[in-house]
Amino acid sequence: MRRAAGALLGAASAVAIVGVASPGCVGALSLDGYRDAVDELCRCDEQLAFLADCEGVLSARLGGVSATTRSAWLAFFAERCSDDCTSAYACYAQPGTCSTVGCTVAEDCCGFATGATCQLGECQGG
Amino acid sequence: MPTKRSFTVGPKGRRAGRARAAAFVVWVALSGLGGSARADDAALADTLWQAGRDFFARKDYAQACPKFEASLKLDRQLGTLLNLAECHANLGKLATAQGQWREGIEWAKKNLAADPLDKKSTERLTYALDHLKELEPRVPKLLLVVRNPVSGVGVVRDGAPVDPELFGLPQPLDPATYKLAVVRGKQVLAEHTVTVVAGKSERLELDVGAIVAAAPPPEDPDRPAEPPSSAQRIAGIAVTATSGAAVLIAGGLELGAIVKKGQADRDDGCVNKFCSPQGLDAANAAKRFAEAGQWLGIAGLLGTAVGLTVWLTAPSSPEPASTGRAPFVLPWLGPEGGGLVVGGAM
Repeated sequence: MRRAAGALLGAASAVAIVGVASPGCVGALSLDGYRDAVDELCRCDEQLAFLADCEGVLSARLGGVSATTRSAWLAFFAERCSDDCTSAYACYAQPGTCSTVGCTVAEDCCGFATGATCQLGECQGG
Repeated sequence: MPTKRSFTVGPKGRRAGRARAAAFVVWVALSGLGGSARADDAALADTLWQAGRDFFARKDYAQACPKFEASLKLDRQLGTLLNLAECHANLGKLATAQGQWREGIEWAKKNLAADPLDKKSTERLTYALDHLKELEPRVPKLLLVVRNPVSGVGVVRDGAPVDPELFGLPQPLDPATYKLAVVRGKQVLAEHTVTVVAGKSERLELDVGAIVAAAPPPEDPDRPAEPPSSAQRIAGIAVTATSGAAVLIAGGLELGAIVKKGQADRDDGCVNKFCSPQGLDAANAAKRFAEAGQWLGIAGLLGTAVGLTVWLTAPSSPEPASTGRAPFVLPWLGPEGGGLVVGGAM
């Protein structure tokens, strides 16, 4: 009687454990689907053709800014650039990814749309 | 006609030695002398006997004897038995040959009792008696003297028990080296090696009382070695404990995943799952922790269930084991919630 009850308990426990655990912790924590925003932005290579090493440059810039700037950039990207490339340059031109110092072309510089230029490797004006 | 299985005998009136020298010259038919056999068995026995005879003629007794033996097994014939006796004698198995000569003599005597004019049986009886007489002085004997016998303690020779009735009597043996042991059940108390050679007798004296006194105490057959229930219970507890530890580690990994996910979900990490490099690193780390914790947790929980089953199904032992019988509740925690594993004696 006791052995049968023990065996039954063990089998029931095993079934319950597998049943509860099998959906997966990754799914339960909603850990799927995270994407690299820079990688997504750099797919718009037509709009950002002036960047020779788009992912390398933007990752370095975004990783180097303050948490506040990064947070604002991500919010802007999620709202404007996550679906298509229409606003790719606008996203790039946000503080966090565009350059305020070194540049190779004028489009590198924050405020290029409002007149910033690249002179002798440095962004001017805008 | 000397075609069927026969037995070699020397011409009448010659000395036994000369008769042996002329062995296999005359093969006397044996049909009808032995017990009945199936026709195919008899044919097979005949083939074996012929093969044995050929080996014997070449003095290859090691090959000849098994052939005669196999033939005899299929179709018992007096001639084959005497062939086998002579073969064993030539091979050096003197005690074996002695027994077979004696058996052959009894057989021939029985034939003669039924038919006193049976010439073949008369010849075979004479032949066997001559050989036995010549052989007997060469058969080695072992005299086993057992002093102070103890109940439950016996003697084995090469693993086979020696009948106590043979103690004190010279036992004919084939020349060889024998291992004799004093045993109590399966416990060997003392061992002796004795080599017997042709024409010589050996004596071995065993003081069983002294051997028993010097031996370690007997194993109590009534004492259970280790209750199987105890072994099963220990195994169950060990598996449960190990698996429980795995579950705890898995819980730690899941907590790590939750912390990393928190880092990823900060405003500067990821927004709507679009991440900065730092956010993506944290999200990936959270995923790795969650996967590792998930599989370790499943394995641990299954192991716990197995361990508990083994533990709870252990047969009852005479000694109460409170840890194995008390009801218990084992909590567990996972990312989707928690649970309790309940067990114990019913």
